[in-house]
Amino acid sequence: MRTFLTLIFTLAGLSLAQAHAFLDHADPRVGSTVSSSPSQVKAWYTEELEPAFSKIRVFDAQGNEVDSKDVKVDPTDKTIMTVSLPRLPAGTYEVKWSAVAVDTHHTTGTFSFTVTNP
Amino acid sequence: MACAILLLLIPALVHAHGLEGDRFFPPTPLTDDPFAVDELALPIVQYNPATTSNEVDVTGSFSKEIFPKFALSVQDTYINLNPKGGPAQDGFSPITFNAKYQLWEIPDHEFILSIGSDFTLGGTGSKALPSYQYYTTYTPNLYLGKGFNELPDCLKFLRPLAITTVTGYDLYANAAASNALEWSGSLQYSIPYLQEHVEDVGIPRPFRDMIPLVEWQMTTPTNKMATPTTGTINPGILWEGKYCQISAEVSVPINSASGPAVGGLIQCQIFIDDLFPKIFGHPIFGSDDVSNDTTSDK
Repeated sequence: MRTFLTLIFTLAGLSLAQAHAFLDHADPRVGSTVSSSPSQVKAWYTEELEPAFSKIRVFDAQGNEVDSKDVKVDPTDKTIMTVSLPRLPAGTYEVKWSAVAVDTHHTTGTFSFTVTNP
Repeated sequence: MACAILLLLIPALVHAHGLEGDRFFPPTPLTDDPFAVDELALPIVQYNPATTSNEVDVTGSFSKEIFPKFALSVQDTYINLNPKGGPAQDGFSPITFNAKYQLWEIPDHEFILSIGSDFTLGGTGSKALPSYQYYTTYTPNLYLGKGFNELPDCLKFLRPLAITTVTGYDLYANAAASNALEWSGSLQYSIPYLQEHVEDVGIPRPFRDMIPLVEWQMTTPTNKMATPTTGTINPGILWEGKYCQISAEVSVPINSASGPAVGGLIQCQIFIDDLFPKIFGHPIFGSDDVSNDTTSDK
């Protein structure tokens, strides 16, 4: 399908681009329970991200932001975004992410993880 | 400074098609989704067995966002009828235009309500078909989409469920025709939603990109004719690719008036805004609001 469309639109002088960036997987895993406080949230996306517009924030159950506000998109693999975490007490944490793919498509999402015994 | 430079260098951010909060509402074959966005469905192939004539329909539709949250679309169907004991009959159905506006959205509740209308132009179809219609039909529609994200933790594995509905009323520009209530909908279970927002249970691709669903499509005559409600229940599955979506459903008639046997359909939906983001994925006039940022403070 894409080859066919590529051919048609290449002939028309147009170019194909990338798709929306959706979350592929994360560490800690989506909805998981971990026994010790993770040192970071690391998220893998389905497309390369635009670092200036992409971010991850982590909130505790009271809505306080607990991450270290040092979001980074891996320069060697722009599908990976991370944010560091301090030592977290036991509890459930909500991760909110906003991703802008290099084609400027904007997606957002949330998931949670639980720390039981930091 | 980097952001300011980038803002000057790249075009405006583009909102993803069919997203409300964390929820992606896919375009489904029989229930027009509530989003006024750029969409290309080509083709939808539908097989409908009937008592007197088996039918194969090939439908194409194209939708373009004109203003933010307002889109116009056009759709037509090539119909092939194979009467039992008679020659085949082929031709196009009347052209249908649609206007749709996203009236109310609550991203945190994965809720969207849209209004619109279909205009099926009389006299534009093939006269060779027995269903040829010389008069125009107007169908005001109400579109609804709602995700189940608010279910409690004890029911978290039901949060991937979502429902979409379209309720319309056929108004015929012909006093002899019976007006009818058209009501369709879909109940979907999104495995991508389960994996990305509820719990990563390790489902591998391609199953991770699938959405099992059930659609229903009903017609209830409202005057003159004492005919019953007719329609089909359509269980199926939908696969989300990077640039296209493929869905397959079986069509089970709800009563004998709806058909004698099970039919089926296949749809290919092309994500033209992903394939050609410089052309599609944004309105012709104005720009989409991309302020729906879930990373904002609580």
